[in-house]
Amino acid sequence: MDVNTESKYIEQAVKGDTYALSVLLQEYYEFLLKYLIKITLDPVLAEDLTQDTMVRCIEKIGTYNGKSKFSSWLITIGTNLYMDYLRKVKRENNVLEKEKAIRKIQWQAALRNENWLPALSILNQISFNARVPIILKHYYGYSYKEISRMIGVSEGTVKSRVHNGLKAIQEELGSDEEE
Amino acid sequence: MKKNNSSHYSNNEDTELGAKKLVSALDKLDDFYPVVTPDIEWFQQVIMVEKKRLRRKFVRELTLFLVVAFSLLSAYFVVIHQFPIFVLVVIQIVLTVLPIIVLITKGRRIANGTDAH
Repeated sequence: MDVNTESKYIEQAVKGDTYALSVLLQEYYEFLLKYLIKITLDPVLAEDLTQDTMVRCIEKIGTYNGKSKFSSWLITIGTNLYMDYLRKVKRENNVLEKEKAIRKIQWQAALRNENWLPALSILNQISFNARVPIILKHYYGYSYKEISRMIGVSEGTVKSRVHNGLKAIQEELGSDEEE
Repeated sequence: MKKNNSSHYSNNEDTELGAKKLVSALDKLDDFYPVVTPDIEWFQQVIMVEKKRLRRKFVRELTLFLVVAFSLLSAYFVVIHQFPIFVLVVIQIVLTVLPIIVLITKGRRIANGTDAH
């Protein structure tokens, strides 16, 4: 979808047009689900969060002001919902839950005859606070300013979380390779 | 939708290398879980259902608000009609005590240094 068409659909969706909003949600469904799989490393949870994000989007579309891209807006909603989820169930440090989720992905990799990637295990071990900015910065290419707006922390904090997180990942990867 | 795969942060080779390995691992993760996007009708249905739920929620909350407001106003008018002196006394007390409370609170904030003005 080109930028002009998207702007037209966004304008109509903000005014309450159901068809325009459904086109936008369909367009960004895959993007959102894949993003949530990456930050949660749990496909089942990611699907639930995608549904919740869409519901929140339907509820709040009237307040979308176009200051950020529609995709960034969806990412912000999805990330906030994941943060709420972590606060509610306090699973961020629950090692068993994390291991269960990563085992599911390992199983999926084995089914496809793919070699397991240690980077994913390490990503699963680092905290949510570092994981999300690292993915947004290095996979999606957002600027530090955009990320700071998305996750609601200062730009400096985002920079240090990304830097320290990546350093920890590389250290772990290095030690894995040495073994 | 992916903007780029390169790092912009620093010249630190360690973090650059870590980032590259991470990006390729996340690309693989996408391959493990191919996404099937539902058709447009499914999205339209979801939106309709959600809009209906929001409308029902709005009506419920508006009704609750009107009932509470009506009850409070009724109680107020009954009291003012039956015990006008009592209402006047309460109003006088509130008008005297409220500014004192505000002044004390502001004074405390200034003393603690939490008031920006």
